[in-house]
Amino acid sequence: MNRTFSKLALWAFLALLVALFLGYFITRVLPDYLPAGRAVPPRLGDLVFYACAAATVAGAAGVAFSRNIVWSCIGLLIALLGTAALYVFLSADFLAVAQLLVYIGGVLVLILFAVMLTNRIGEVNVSNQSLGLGGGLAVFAAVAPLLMLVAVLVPWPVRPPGPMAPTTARIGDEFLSTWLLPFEVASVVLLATLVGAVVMARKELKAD
Amino acid sequence: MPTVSSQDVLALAPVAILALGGIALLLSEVFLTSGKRGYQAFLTVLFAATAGLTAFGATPGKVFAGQATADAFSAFVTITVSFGLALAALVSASWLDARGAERGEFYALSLFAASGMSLLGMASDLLVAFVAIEIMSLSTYALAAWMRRGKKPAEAAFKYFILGAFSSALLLYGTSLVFGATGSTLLSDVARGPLQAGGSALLSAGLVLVAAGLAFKVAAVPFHVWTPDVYEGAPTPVTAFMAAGVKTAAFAILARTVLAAYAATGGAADSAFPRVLAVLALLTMLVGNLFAVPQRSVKRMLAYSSIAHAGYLLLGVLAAGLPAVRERALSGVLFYLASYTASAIGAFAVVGALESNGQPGDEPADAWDLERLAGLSRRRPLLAFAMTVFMLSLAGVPPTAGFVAKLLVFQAAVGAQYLALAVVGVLTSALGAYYYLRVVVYMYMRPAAEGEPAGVTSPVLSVALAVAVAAVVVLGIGSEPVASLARAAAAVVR
Amino acid sequence: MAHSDAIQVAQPLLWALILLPAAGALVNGFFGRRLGKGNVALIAVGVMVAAFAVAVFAFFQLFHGEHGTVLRAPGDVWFRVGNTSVSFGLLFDRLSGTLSLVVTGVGALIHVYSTSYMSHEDDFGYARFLTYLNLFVAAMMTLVLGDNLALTFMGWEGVGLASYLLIGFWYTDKQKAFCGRKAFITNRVGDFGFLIGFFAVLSLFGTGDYAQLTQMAGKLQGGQLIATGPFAGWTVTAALTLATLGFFVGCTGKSAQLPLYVWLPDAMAGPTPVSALIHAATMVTAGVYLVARTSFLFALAPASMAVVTTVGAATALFSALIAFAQYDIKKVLAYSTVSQLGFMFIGVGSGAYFAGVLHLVTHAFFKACLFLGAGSVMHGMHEDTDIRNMGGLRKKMPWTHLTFLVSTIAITGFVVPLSGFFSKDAILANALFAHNAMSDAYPWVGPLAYVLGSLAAAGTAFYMMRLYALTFAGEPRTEAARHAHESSPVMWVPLAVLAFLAVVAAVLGLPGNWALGELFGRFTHPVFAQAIATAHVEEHAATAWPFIVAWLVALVAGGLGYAMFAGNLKSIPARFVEVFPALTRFAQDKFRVDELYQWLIIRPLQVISRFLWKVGDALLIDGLLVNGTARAAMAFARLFRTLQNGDVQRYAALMAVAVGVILWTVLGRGGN
Repeated sequence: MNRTFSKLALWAFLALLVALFLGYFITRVLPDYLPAGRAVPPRLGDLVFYACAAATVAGAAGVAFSRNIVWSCIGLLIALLGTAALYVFLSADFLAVAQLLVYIGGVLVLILFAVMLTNRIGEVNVSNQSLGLGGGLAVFAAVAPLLMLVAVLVPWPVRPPGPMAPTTARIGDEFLSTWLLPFEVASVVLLATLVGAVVMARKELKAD
Repeated sequence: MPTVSSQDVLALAPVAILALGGIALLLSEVFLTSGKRGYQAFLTVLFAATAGLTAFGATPGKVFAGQATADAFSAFVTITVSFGLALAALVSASWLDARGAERGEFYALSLFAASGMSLLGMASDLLVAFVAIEIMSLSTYALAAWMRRGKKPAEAAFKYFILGAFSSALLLYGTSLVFGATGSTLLSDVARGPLQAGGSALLSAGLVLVAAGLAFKVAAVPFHVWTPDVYEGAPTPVTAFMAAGVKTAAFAILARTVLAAYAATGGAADSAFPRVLAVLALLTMLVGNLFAVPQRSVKRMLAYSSIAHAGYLLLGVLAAGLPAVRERALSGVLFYLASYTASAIGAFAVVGALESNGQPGDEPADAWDLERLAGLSRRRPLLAFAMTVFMLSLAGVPPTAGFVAKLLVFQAAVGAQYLALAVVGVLTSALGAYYYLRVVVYMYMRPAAEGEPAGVTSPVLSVALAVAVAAVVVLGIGSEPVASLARAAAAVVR
Repeated sequence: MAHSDAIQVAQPLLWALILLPAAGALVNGFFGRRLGKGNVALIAVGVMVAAFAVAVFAFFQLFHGEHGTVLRAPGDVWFRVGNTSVSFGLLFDRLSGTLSLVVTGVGALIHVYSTSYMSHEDDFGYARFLTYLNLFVAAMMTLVLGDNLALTFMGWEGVGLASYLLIGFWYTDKQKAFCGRKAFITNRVGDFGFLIGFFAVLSLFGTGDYAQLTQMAGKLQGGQLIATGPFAGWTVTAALTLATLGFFVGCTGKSAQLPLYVWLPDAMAGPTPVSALIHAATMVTAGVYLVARTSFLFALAPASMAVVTTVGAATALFSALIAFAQYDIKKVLAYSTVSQLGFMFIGVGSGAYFAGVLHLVTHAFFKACLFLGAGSVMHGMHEDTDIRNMGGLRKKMPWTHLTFLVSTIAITGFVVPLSGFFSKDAILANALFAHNAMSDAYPWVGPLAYVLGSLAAAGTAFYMMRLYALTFAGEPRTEAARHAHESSPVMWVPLAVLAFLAVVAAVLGLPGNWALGELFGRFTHPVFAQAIATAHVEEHAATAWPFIVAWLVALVAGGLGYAMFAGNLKSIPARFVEVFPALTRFAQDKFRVDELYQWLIIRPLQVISRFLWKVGDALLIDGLLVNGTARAAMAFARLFRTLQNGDVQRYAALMAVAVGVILWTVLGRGGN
């Protein structure tokens, strides 16, 4: 009872902090830097975008803060889904689908399998003990405001998203022309990773 | 649409040879009929030598639309890496054989790592650099986990992997910010600065993150924390290869990136970049040397010493910011890397030869204690002599390679007006001599403990040590041929 | 031409001076254990004799030509720094030639002596010791023969390493390990100074080659402003003062001057008289050699010359005082060495270059003889080094006694002026009378050095006679002294040779304007010509009174020393009266005299010297510098080790915070 309460209080405190920070940021910092004429009422698309972005952040927070590893996996699922949705917003259809297929369909399922198949997973409740909340907040405070400031202050080269058009062919072309070198070399990465995984997974070496 | 010519492909021949060598070594394990694996190390040396020779003969030029550059600089890096790989392979053969753990995959992973390092020397695009770093890193993570006897190796590999992933994330995030600011990942475009006025903050943030990711790889303070644990836990030959090869490759790309960053942020003197780099160099020199003093484990001491050397190298990279001394500073850095490769691999090889044979579960806490070296001059005079040469070189005592290397770098730092840092460098290397010479004292002046084993040696190890000693001495006495190569290499980097 | 052929032969042979001892060290180091003592000794001594022969051969080539021939063995490029290339090249001129003769000659004698002295070691230790000795000579020859600063520095580091090994030879207990550490740390401080000087010279001249440096320095004027480089805006004098002071800091470490002298007495009190000697006769003179070698730079920086002179004079007196209170035979000699080095620095600092170097040479002879004599005494006394336990050894060890006496006279000038007296007198007279750039700028330095130096000379006579008296004169005070025996001829023959040299070397330093006068000064003049011209050293008229004063000082102080320590013994007075009738009263009335001296001179001096020794040496240097450095490093490391606790998350957090801090720093300046 007492523990639950203190946990709740902690979360509430955290949420309050983040809310305060965001509120301060949006009301005090942003208006100074945004061009005056931009205060248009939000459109539906914007709302959906913010929802997806919020889901991504919330999922990531769930991965980090949950003490139960299965819940962490679910959080990861949400974060990856949110990212896929953001790709859709950028008219990157291939990326969005690849994200779904590879990360959610492959990687995440594999992680879940591994978690489920590991013995006595229920007893593992240690996640982030060594670095307390204070330390985490300190790191957060050191890095996050700055990156947000940069993101907001800097005039980005803006290009309105084009109409949804298939990008797969273009990506293929790019891979085999402009980005041929990294694309081909990535195969060595995969090979090395495969061999490395096998090395780590095999039994201990003994003289044969 | 850019087309790929045969010249593009040919320029990458060293990388391809190393990667193909890896595949060949993998396959050799498949077709193995007897339990004899002695030839695998020689095969590795052969591939390394071929790659090094190919790099020598490569036609200089930018390839793949500027994403990679084959020039004297990349050739120097490839040759140094190949030399390190060949030495490390010979050392590994003896070490692994004594523990019944020699397999083709080990050499395959080493070769893959070397191909990544070689590519890193050529990379002039942040994305290519990232992919190359991943090849190098993933292979070394696996190599660090090669022996899973006792807790330390597994822990080391795990730590290296987690923190390495963290640094990769920093690197990738930084790359994306740089792309946002400049619209390109090519270093030549980055050097032109941000696309739009006011974008310099974004570019700086991106470059800082990229530099932080690279600082992790070179083990610069405060991104060094993984180094002692990982270097101590990894199998000793792997540590040797990591210390030499990863450092060489990472410094190559760090130098290219920092030069682009200097150009992008306008001049060396008045920007924050050199200051940050100067602080990093200062911290790295101080922390590396001060931490090495109380270490009783020779292997851990060498890990801290590797951090300290990263500090001196950073000093050289920092000095390269001033165009007037750029060639001098970069050639100093390259020469330093070559000399460090020979000295560090040699030192780790001796440490590896002396550690206990490692039965499963057998991991005495003092496996690398100074006491194990006591009286080595009596038991194994040649081994003790080789270790003395390496220690002197690491300490920077003439006439070894380390002295010339330190002199070149410090002189460049003085030329670039970093007088205070040069003074700190000289002072800390004086401190360094204390813990390096302590090893010599133990070998020559302490009586051996009862029943101390003589250690493992084999003909291959002797060859490797002889080559390393010869390299250290030749680089120290007749440094001119290599130094002129380094100068030629440094001259092409703008 | 016959002698041009000989020169052609001699030039490449210079390498043999370094390579022969190096080869000896390699062979003995690797195979010594299996060769057996006889072969090891043969190799070690053989290479030294061969090197000495080469040095003699090369030395004779120097006499060709009007201003002396200079032999060179140019070498390949060693490394390049910027546009400067540093090459391996050897330079054998009248300065380095003299040093080569001393190092190989005295070195060969030491080798011979140690083959007997170390014979009780086991095979391995025997080979190891001779390996270190050979290594030492190879490094010392590199230092002496190198034709540029880089090569000299290489030898400089090499002798440091060899001496570290030699000091550590018998190191098993903590006290001796501490001495090794002390030597090491103080020398590293000095090396740091050398490097600063080296870098400064490289930045100023773009070369480290002595010949080029001499040429370029000859064209400089002190007041000139430097246009480019790290020293832009400085005057030549200011920049060279920095460089030369850097060198001198190196010299205070290597040559044991204030305040870095402390390692030497401890290092010598340590293991063997042989290693003590190799330090005293050769290694510590490296600093004097460096100042002499770069004298043309010092000549452009009068402030540095003044510092060298003052520090030398202060050291000479300071360590002479300390020597009063020591009872360990080797410690007395050690402090005496420090004191004599001070004289050499007065010489090379005040423009009397030849006198400084001459004192180096003569000191090598008589101090070697004294140290080897001390070793012989220790051998006879079963490793006892306390002079209070000796006495009367004159009869037991006639050869040792004779050579020791000759050397004592040589160092003090007591009774008959021998070699050391002339070189010392040349130094002091020059310090008083010389007119040069230094005495123009700092007129008080010369007289100060003269006064301090004369006091130190008096002190030298006093403590050396005290040492001699307590050791050899009188009756044996212990059983061990009663049963002492003479050492083997292998040990005393080198003693005799050195004593002979200590007498004969007086010829080199005879003053006056005749065929044999100023022999060494004229011989080395070509080397120092430019420094003398730059510093406007003017010949001073030779006057007799300083010479007589110096002799009287030696006589009185030496007589006093003898009277006080041998005079109050029962068997001596008759003899004493014979030799010094003037002092008879003191001998007859010995109680009061004893008490008088006890209270007036010895006690205060003991208190002062104890105090200096305790405060300067034990507290400041041992406590603060040596232990303090180690302790501070340890504490710092422990602090940071709490961060390094193996926790991955903490590591990641540290990295993240670091990234944050760097980002704030960079972006806080607007992204530039």
